[in-house]
Amino acid sequence: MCTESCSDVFYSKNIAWILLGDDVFVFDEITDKVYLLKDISKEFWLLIQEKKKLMDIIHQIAESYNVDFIVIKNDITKLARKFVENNLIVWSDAV
Amino acid sequence: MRQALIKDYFYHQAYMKNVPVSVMIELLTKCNLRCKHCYLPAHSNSGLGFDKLKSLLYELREAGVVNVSFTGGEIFLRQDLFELIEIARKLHMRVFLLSNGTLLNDKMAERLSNLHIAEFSTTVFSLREGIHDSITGLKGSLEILLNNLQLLKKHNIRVRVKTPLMNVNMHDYKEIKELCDHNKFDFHVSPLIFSKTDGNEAPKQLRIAKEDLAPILKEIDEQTRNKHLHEYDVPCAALFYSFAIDCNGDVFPCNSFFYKVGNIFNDTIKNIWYESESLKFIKNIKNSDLKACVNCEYKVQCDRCPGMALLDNKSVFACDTFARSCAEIRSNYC
Repeated sequence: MCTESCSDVFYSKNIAWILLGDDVFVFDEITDKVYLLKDISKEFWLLIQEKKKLMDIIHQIAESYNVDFIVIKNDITKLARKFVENNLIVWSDAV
Repeated sequence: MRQALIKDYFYHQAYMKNVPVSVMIELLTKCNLRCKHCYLPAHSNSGLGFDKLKSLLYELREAGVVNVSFTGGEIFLRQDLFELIEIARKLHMRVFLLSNGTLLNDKMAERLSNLHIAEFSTTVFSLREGIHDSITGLKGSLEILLNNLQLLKKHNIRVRVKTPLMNVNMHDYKEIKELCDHNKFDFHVSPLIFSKTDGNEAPKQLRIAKEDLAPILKEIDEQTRNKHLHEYDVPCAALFYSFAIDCNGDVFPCNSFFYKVGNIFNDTIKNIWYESESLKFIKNIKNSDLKACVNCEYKVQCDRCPGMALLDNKSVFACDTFARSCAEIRSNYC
């Protein structure tokens, strides 16, 4: 059975975003809200560009921050779920 | 409150890092209306070709631009407008449309909604059709526009209504504001009317006389005057994060600052932004260099625009005389 970590992650169609200095700004055109992403949430966001699966993104962040995969997996999955809840990203199950 | 802080932080960061995050692109000067106040001297240019605009959008994204405004002329006269919007959206840019709103239909509004544009900005001169239509030069234009505003609302597109206040419509903005409040449209009113870009001063005849402006300026300031969190020692902070491109590919610091700093057929966007000597000259001007302003008794209340100073008084260092007269009025109540 495939879980979230098998999912492909995509930016939602209603967003715009830009990397400005060390920050990522994400604009939701439906709600007119703007989100400021720093540190790990920024890294997560930028890795979506490379069209990675969630698990690949988690592995790469774990490596960048020199943290054990198991330690960080739950936190990043939780972050991803929050992005999904706020309609900033979508994910699809890999077949 | 937090949203306002993040938005302010965004533009402040762009200013501090000198990153061009916003661009206004004039897609054409052709228009189906002939508004009396319009700064365009002619309406014959169909604008840059599609392929050039497509490559321009990619270049702009690479340079850091996230806000793209499409203006004209009337942008819906371009057959490729939706393709251009799609490209900008695929690049994850925000798209702001400036249009007279008369050429829309339900299908187009639905399509705009599905593309998630940031804003549709249009102009309402008056809710009295005799006034509005006499300004646009097209009988029936107000009725068409008001119907189309409802289409935009139906499709949940954010709408901004702008009202240029002139001597022929100066008492009409309150009704327009009520319409906007009722429909949750953003509203912006301004008494600034400027010359045509070829120097023809005819539109300035429409400016409200100072004695008539005095009673209403306070009211319109309360609605629209920006409150800045940061003080800058330059005449305009926006010059450090935005610019404009006209339908010939000429690049300007702003679409109301007619001081050419480059052309996209001769140079790249990044080169123009970071290396143009003309643009560096403009950006190096400090408030302390404005000899006309340093000792002006109204400088605190003045919203001087360097573009207007150049247009009205032929120098980027000159007084913006219209802004000064507004500041003089403000000094009576600020």
